[in-house]
Amino acid sequence: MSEPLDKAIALSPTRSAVVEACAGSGKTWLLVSRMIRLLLAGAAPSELLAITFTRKAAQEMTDRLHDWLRVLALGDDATVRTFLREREIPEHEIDGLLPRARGLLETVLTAQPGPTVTTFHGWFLDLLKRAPLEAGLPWGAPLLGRNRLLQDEVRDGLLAQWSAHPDSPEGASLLALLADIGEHNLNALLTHFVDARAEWWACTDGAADPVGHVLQRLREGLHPDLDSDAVAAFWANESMVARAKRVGLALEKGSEAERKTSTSIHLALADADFDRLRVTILKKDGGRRVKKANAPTLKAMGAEADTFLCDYGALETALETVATIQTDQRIWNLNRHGLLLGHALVKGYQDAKAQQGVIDFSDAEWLACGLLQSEEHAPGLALKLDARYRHLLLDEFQDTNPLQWQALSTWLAEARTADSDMTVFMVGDPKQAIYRFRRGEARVFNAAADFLQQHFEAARFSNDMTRRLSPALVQAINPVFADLEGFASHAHAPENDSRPGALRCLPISVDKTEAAPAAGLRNPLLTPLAEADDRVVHVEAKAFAQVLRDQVLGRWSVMDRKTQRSRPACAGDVLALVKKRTHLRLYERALEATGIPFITSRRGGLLHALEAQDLIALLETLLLPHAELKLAHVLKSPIFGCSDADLLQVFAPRPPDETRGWERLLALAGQTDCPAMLHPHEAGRGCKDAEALKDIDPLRAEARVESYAPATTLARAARLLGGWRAHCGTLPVHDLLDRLYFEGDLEARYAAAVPAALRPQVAANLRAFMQLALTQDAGRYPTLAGFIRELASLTDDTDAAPGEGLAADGENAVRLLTIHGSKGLEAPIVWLLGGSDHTHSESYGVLAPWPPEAPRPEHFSLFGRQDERGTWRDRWFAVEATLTQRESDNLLYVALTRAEQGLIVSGAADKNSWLQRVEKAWQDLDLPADLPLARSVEASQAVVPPPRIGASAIGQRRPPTPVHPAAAQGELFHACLEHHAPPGRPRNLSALAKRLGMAAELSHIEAAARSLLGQPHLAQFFDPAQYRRAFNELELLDAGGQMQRLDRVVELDDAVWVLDYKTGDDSRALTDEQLAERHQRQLAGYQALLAGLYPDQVVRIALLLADGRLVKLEPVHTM
Amino acid sequence: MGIARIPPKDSSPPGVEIPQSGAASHASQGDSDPLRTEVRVESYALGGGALPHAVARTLLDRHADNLPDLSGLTVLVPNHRAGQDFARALALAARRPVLIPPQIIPLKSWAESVADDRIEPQARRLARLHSVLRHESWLGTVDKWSLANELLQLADELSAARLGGNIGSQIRALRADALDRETSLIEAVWRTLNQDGDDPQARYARALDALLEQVGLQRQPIYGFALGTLTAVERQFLERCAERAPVTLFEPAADATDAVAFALHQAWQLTTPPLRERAATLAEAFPHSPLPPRLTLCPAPHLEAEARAVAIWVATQLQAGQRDLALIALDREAARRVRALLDRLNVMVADETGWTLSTTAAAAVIDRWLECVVSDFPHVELLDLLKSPFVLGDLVARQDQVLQFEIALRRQGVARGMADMLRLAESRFGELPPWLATLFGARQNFAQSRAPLSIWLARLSSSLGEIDATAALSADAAGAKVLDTLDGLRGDLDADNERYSFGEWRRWLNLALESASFIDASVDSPIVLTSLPAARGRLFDAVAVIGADARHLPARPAPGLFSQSTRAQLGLSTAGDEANATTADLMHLLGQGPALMSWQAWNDDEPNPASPLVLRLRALHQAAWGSDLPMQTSGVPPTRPGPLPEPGMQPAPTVSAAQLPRRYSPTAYQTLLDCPYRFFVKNVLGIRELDEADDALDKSDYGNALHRILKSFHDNAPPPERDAALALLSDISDAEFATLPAWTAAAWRSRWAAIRPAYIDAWLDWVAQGWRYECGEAAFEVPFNVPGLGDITLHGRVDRVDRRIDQNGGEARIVIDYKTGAAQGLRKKLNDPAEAIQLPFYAWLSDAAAAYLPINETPVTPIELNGETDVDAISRRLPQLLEAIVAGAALRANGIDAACQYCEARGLCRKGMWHE
Ligand code: SF4
Repeated sequence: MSEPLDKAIALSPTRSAVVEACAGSGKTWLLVSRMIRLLLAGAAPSELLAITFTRKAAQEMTDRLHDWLRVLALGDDATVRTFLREREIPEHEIDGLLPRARGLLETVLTAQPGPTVTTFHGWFLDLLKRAPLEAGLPWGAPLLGRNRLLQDEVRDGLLAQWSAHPDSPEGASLLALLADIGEHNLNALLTHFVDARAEWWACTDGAADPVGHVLQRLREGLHPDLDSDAVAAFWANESMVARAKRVGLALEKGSEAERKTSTSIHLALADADFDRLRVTILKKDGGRRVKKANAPTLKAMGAEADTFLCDYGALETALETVATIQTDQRIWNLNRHGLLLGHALVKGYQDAKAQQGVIDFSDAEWLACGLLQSEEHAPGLALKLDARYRHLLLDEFQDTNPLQWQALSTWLAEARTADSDMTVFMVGDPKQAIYRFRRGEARVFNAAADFLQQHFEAARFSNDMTRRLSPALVQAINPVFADLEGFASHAHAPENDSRPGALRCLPISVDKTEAAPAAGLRNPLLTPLAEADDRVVHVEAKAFAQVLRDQVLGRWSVMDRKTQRSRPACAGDVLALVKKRTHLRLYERALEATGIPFITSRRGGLLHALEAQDLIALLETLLLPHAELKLAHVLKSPIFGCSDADLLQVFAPRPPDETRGWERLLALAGQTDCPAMLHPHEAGRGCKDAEALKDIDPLRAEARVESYAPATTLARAARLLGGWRAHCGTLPVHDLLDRLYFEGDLEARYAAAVPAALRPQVAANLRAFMQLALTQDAGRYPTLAGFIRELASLTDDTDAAPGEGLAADGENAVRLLTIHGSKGLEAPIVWLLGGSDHTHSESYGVLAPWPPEAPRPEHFSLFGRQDERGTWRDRWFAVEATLTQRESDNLLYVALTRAEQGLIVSGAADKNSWLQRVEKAWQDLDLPADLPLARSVEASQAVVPPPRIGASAIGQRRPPTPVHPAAAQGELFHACLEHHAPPGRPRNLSALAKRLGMAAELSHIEAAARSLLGQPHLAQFFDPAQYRRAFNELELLDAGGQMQRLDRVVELDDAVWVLDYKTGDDSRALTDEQLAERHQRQLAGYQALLAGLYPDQVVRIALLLADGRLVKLEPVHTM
Repeated sequence: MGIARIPPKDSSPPGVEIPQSGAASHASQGDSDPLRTEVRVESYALGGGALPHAVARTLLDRHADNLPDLSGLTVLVPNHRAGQDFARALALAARRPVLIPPQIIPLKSWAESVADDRIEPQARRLARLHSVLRHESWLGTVDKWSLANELLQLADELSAARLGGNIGSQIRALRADALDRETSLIEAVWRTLNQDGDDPQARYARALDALLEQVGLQRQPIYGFALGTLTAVERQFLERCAERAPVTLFEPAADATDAVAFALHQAWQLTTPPLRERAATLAEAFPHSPLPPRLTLCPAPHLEAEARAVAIWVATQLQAGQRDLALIALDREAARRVRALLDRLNVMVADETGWTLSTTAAAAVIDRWLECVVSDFPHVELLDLLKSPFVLGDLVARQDQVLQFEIALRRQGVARGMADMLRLAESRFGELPPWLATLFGARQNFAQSRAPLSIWLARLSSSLGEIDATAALSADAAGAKVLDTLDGLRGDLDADNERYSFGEWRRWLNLALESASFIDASVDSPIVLTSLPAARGRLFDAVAVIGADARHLPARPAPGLFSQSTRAQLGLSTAGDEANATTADLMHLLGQGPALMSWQAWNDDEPNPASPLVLRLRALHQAAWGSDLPMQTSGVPPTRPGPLPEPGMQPAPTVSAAQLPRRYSPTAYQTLLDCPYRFFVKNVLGIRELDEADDALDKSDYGNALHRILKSFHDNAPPPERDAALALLSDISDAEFATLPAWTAAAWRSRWAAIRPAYIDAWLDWVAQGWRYECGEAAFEVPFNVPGLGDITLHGRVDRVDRRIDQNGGEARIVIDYKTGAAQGLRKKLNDPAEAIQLPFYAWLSDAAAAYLPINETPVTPIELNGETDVDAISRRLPQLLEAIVAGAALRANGIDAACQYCEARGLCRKGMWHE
């Protein structure tokens, strides 16, 4: 078993080790220290593979590694020595290792590849990407982002198909199940099946008929006879019927109740009503009655009593048997049909993914595990990896699932055989295993520890000293978990000896009687309805906010992590935790009302946030302004800030006026007295930033007037909406949104409209929404409508919905999180909000117990309602129940151990089991309820507002150059001249013609060009015999560095000529003078250039037209 | 003659011998030189200037005698823009009115100028390869198009890596290992596609050979700089050139004359001696860090902050007079955001990075159209199409009709199908609007039989013509590019005869649109958004590197068929090579002027580590000067400010009599009770939600169906015998459900089938009590006069009215409301009839008893309104409330949470954003 942590062994780079480490004991410290030890001992960076549970943890680990390597590289020798000493490097080795230690930062940062720090999923995906052919993967298959969406699509499609073919096996099963358990439960069943697909594959791997295979094994545990009608058999059993009759007769003489029973038995016998007989003889829940008859009755029976009891007993047994058979029949039917449909559904889902060329996490896990375990492919896999892993570091191992462990252990066993120097270091804490819903299995930790002990001679330690929790907290937490299996009392770290702590347990109860209704009928205009349910949570939420405001914030003093000095607690020091998101909204409201800033990460909550809905409504309005609700919504939002009176103007009935909504808004905005119609100059006048407008581009002139006009809110809305609508079809969503933010001044408007406590979150959400648009734009075939649709379908997709924007760190706000979301976090003060927790057991699910050391689940079946589970599977259900309970304990442990100094637990006094547990554990402990009061409240530093970005305009948008055939013809003609005029400059004329769409005209134009070249009056320019030298397309570099291209330069004896081709049709119509005038400047430039080249010669210039006209220009005398 | 190569020189410690600026050259042997020639190495100290300037000076020095005519020389540049910058540098250094410039050209373009026509278009090679792969059954579900793409790329890389026949054997040598599948595939591919000399690399090589001949004839010097990573073919070419003419390649050398370049070199290109020693040398040479005025870092907490920081940095640079700015877009999203923010200032950015065609609005139009064709006009895609400015002529002209059509589609719940839409459009507009007619016609004409790719493209093209898309798309820059690309592909694929189905072709099309990109060239600006390779060798005044985190810098290679070590064995470039090239590019850029390196230090909730280059630089800086580099702060982007809105308050509007409705149903009354503001929105403003056309049938549809079934059942005077009644009910139910989609029908039928017997039992029981059916769907109205408001009508429609004569001969009536909710909830409601007014209100309107009849569970039992209930008081409260409202009582938003949760008016009421 495990021993107290011996760091020297745990960090030794040549040994393997397992550390079970309690919350706050410094797991990351150990892990990263070990990485450094390995590197110091000469391991190549690429030989390190660290696997942790979340990407975030992986990133944090990388960050920590870099930080420490920096210390090693930069610190003075004393610091580095201390650092190494703390990591248990033997004193005599330290000096020798210094040079290596100092170089590690660069060794690691320049390594190709570097150390791998990743998650299981990340690692699997990487494996698959490197061996797609072996895995049989769609090529380069990206990860499917929206599993549920596709699953639902596939399910709906298949359900439609099956029900359209009721005679098919699936159709028949579907109808049977529908009739039996109904649509709702069927859906639940199928969803659970799809979620358990990895277990299903593992159970049926290699089976030709997976469904049959699993059914066959199930069948063995059920009653042998499921086909016959047990009830009919019962009635057919005459001796049993006779016994029943005798029992009935015997009871006729009993008490009044017994006489009733007797009548009931007779009636049941008469009607052959089995159910009636059963509930008469047995108890309602199927159990046996303790007393079969009253004592006097039995006594009265005399000798008959024995017969009576014997009959009764036999009857009970017979009835029970029938009930068992009936239950087993139901189980059988549920599985027979359910497995068939589930299997087909999973297949359909897999096919759909293959069709789209994507995979999901389950696939990645399954395929990667298959690869790692494959005798055929595993050896080759090593060659495909760029890194040879020789040192494995496993973090948070308690959240690993059996399938992952299977793959990993196979691989480890192989690797160990091949490389005896391989080491494994594993840390985790089974007490913090909280991912059962993602198939995490805490027991894997122990299985893995055993394996490592056996195969890697791993030392096994446990560390129960926490650096996070202050002594009082440790003292408080120990009794809460004392009864937990495997829990060892925690100790605080010596350096925390004097750190204060505070604990409160806050049971909430509500006076039920108080809700007496007031006399008479309620007037809704004056009196709101009282909140009906969850009153406890309302009270709790109120207490939560008030205690924080009045007793904690600014009053308690907490230890600042950075400065290690105490200071008054601020909102950012508080972490508020909930088990489920159900009541999050209420707690948020209470904080809002109290003016305490907060940040929630309601997972997937972004699109539910009101500001995000405002933006969606705005986009929808732009697309479909007639959607009244959306229009009204946008108008009321801070984007436009219209009042209810404004809404009445736009929407309320006005008998003679038929229009309403959008049309009426436009009409209102168009009325002459509306400032919208003011002349731009007037509208802009008086605006303090009017100067700044000068540079705004003309495209936006209209918008400019809009936002500066002293308009009514409605007029502003109409103008802005109208302006934005014009950009809908063409601007990408992100650019459109940016325009909305910019012209609508959105951020400032929201900041003005919402209460201060909400500002950080609202601002963060506005940012997050913009970012969402950016990511969506990068997708295939984007349109605005498509974007909105995507948002709509994302809104309620629990897996894929985008989270709310996280306000930047440094923004001082209470964090309101789920316990799952708080994993890896800590805070000076933690408040565990309990509300009233209900847990209900699951029905219509999958039972697939998978012991950690087993290669596959030892059983697979479907189950229905609580009372229809039969008896055969009890042992597995019992294990499941224990695991569920254990998970709940773990959740509590995780929640309580997030706190450093202050811990408050609240919840319904009578309904919240956690609260009760904590209350009981703490009742005699006399724990401090407050942290020391903070002395002085330091004046908060004035925040300097960031500067506004400003610069003057630069750059411009060129209008598109229209392509017209004349220009194309000119270009081709030009090219022909270039090609054919000696000395020639070969051009690919046919390719050019094709590109210009003038393939047909080429021969014609080429002929024209050649005939032009042959014209006698041009001979001096084109006949090599007549000139000294000629250039086509002569490139010259002018003094400014611009490249100038001269069509033709001809050196004659008396002058140098520049010919400029004007081969487009548009030139022909012009006179010589016009042409000369038009091209004067350009040609003067040419002339100046040539004058630089031929300083002693006369430079003449001429234009040559396609028809052979030569326009000689008079020499210009420059300078 | 030989290649003169000017390599990065390992540290020349300052204070030793600093080579002079200009052409100080000395020879040495480069033994690790990949060029493997006996080369003369010249080293240049590029003191204070960027590479192009130094090269220009050298060139002018060496060929001073020829000036101004430098023709005949060749200067190889990494890309055209670098060529332009070099030309400018040359002109600047020459200080002459005119130069006949050397040939300044990228190697590829030079080769292209003499390349032959012998080439098989990539599209056809891809198709050819695919047609082979699609018959390889062992490949399973692998997407053959993507696989073909990847294989082709690899084959071409192999071709470029080394010429000649030894590739096959090289690959085969690898097969000794376990890489069997990959190697056999790639070998086969290489053999079939890359051995006949028609592949682009072979053509390139031939062109280079042709150039070689030219070079041999002319024997004129060749220069080159910043050429990046060369392929073996290119290296070979240069080596052979060197045998015929002087070839000089320039690379930046680090020396201590340029403090910034020297510091960067010390940080990024060396790992020995140890960091602290290098730092000490550096600090000795430069007691003050040269970096702070030049290099700023920005680890931003999120994307927006990064973009804002970059934007304010750009603004600052512009204000300081810098002009040519490069924004290196390592992180595309952040870079786009920067561009948008700068756009607000009218600081335009020329985007050289481009978009894949599939992300353009033009491609989206094609996608929507194809979807309409293949899936018979799903309404979503159809509406997208109808609202696009790229099709069907003038958008404004049809806009109103399209909106009307959309609303009609939603109201009628038409989700797809030409036939239904035709009907709807005709009933709505009287005739088929031309825009719809065109689309329908074009779809009819779109043949969907299996065909070769080029035929498919021809079909697409002609149908785009039919829907008036061609001209509009051509007028849009991206659209024109899309059309061009498709036309080009069609030409290239002319000879390919493999036939494909619509679906297969669309997959190909997706890939094709994904592999081509569009660059918006319409912006003229000295500020460019570009990539590192595209910035290579160019001159900038200042440079911002956006996305300098570990994910992007250096870029991580996507895992391909071969691992890095296999690639190295085959002579292909590896991640290490790429990283080195990146570092070199970056050093050159950052050395030119003020620079910013920004990244998101946080991504979502996760830390996002900085680039190793940043980490190394910071560490060195810390060690040398004991300080960090300066950090760029963020700024606030400009907006169009106006008067700000009022703080949000709990709404409490008042309304006038004229604005109040005249008719009131129990629902309206209930709404008023639940939340007066909601009443304001729903009943005063009269705002309703629009339905989605494709929303699945839901619970309320089920309820409506049952209502219809039961009305029909009772109207049909059912026989009071159980079996007969049940049979009748079953028939009616089946008929009702038969019109539904298969699954819904099956599910509802099954659900209702479980209830039906219980319903009949309850009804027979009811009949036994003497109740008789009077009518279904009965409407009741009661006029009322409200002071201040005038005459109003209170009204309601009940599901069923029954009547009986009791023992005393008195007549009794009861109104029954069917409910599909849970009985328990209904009972709870009836505990407080003053708050759940439906039943009391019905009772009052009809002057009868009232009951709910829950029909979603067994047994079916009516839940009657307590006879003691003061229905009169409850009902008369409505007019009293109305009177109060007219008198000025406010309609306050005061719903309880349970009401707010599903309240459609939340966006208007804005609960949750109120100031107290
Ligand atoms: S959200 Fe609540 S308060 Fe607001 S209108 Fe709806 S019901 Fe009333």
